[in-house]
Amino acid sequence: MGTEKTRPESTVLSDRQKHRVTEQLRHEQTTCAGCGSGDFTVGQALYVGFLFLDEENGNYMVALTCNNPECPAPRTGITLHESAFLDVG
Amino acid sequence: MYELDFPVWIRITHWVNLLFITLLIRSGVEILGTHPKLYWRNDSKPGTEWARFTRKTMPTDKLYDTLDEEESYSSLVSMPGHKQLGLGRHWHFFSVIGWILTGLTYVILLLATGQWHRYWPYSWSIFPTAWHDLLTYLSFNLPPLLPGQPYDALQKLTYAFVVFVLAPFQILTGAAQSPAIEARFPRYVRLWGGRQAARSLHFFGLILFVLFIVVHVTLIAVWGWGMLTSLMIFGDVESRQWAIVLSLVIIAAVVAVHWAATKYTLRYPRRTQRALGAVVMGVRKWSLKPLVSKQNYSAAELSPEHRVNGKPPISDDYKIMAAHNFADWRLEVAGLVENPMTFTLQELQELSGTQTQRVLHNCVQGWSSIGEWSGVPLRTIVELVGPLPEARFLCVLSMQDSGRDEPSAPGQGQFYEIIDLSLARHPDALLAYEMNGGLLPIEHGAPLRLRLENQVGFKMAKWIDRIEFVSDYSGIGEGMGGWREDNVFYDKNVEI
Ligand SMILES: [Zn+2]
Repeated sequence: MGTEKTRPESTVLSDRQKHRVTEQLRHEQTTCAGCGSGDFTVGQALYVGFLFLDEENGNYMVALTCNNPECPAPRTGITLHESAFLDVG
Repeated sequence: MYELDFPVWIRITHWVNLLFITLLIRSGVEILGTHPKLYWRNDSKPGTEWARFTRKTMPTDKLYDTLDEEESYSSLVSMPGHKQLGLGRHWHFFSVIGWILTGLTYVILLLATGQWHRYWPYSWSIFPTAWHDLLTYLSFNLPPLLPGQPYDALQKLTYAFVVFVLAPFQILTGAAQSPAIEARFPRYVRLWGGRQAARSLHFFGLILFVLFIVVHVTLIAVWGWGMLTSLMIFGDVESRQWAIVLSLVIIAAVVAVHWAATKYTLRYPRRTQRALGAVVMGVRKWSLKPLVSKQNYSAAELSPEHRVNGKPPISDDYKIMAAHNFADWRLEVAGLVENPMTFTLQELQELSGTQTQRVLHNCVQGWSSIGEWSGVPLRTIVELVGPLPEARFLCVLSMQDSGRDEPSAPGQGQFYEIIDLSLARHPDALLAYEMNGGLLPIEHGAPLRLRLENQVGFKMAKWIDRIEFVSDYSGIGEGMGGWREDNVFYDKNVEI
């Protein structure tokens, strides 16, 4: 144990892709539901477009971790369409 | 010499058999309709079916499950009809008990009274004679009876085939589809070419029975309905007029039983479930429930694509948890225990005694796949929390809200299944967090699902987050022992 296994549905994002997610968060002024902070670390992206009936094709749940050490619920996420953060090609 | 006549027990078993075999055929079609596809290979891979009885096509860009593939057939051909697999199963298993008891009575008396001679071939020459008889029938003539016997050669061979080959064949291929038998005797299933081959062969048996009935009834009419029904009702040929009337009355009575049973079942599904379930589960309790899995399929036999039933919870909480690899997920184990406990996924993974099993998965609908599952034996958790003496069942709760997440299943509320504490202590009862060597995929129940290798799939709750020990489940849901039992009238213990 210790080494983090990636879920079969998850994609590890490149720095550039993570940067695009951060830009989206800033653009949409997303804040943490737990503490109100707007400072997140971007994690993996889980493809939800196929598995979940309520999701459009191409949707991902991107893992976000709130950077506020006092945050009561630091692990959160944002649903984004692939066009918003995944590079084409 | 034996007199090959029609003693009263032959006459009674004949007509009782008519009732049970027709109930079996109609309820069998109901079961077929729930997964209207037939395969030869264990993995039931979509597209590999050799026969399909549905026009539905499935999406490629969205998860679908086998509940979406289910067909609704008319009550004219299926029992009770209208997509009622649970009730169809009750009728099939109830009828098969009656049918086997009738058949055993018949065969024992056949042997004890010497009436078995009516089926004994005596000479190889019966085969060419039977062939000649067939040609005679095909030229619209009647062949001669065998000397001193009630049948011609072709009839004799056909009846012997139906009684001594086809009927046992249906029982054996039916048994080969029981997860408890497959788990305990994996070589027996291989003998038939696997689970799906057994299901396909069982279907051929159904077709042969239907063909037999059609030809049998036609030939009775051709040879003389009054004479032959007189033999089968009164034991002699003296009362042909009465026999014509009475035979039609008996057939009408069988149709009436079918009609009334179908109406009652659709109108009072819960009462039907309870009444038939009491009989069927009583038999299973001593016959199938004690069977423990001895399966060990090879890695090469794993299905490249394991089929799916049930859809994952669509809540944002669940999706966010999954995106973080279930770091915030907890398993709560509580209820009638000495030490209620809470586990993280990592804590479960770090418990000693990780168990891996490569097994055949049986869906209640009829498909199968082979998968490798790893996790913590359920009995480890049972020992850790220490059930109180009054604890008798485990209520396994899922994060799935079936009403919200599963449009193809009628019913509302959180998914749960009740299992007996004795079943939780089976060596092959497993809380699995890995599949085929990787993390458990979401569609297969991530982060945690149950494996019970002598049960059909729906008992193995997925997306589990809570296990409660209880002394009684009559107050949980509708009190039938699980979400499917409550909402679609399935049986609580499903060793077949
Ligand atoms: Zn926060």
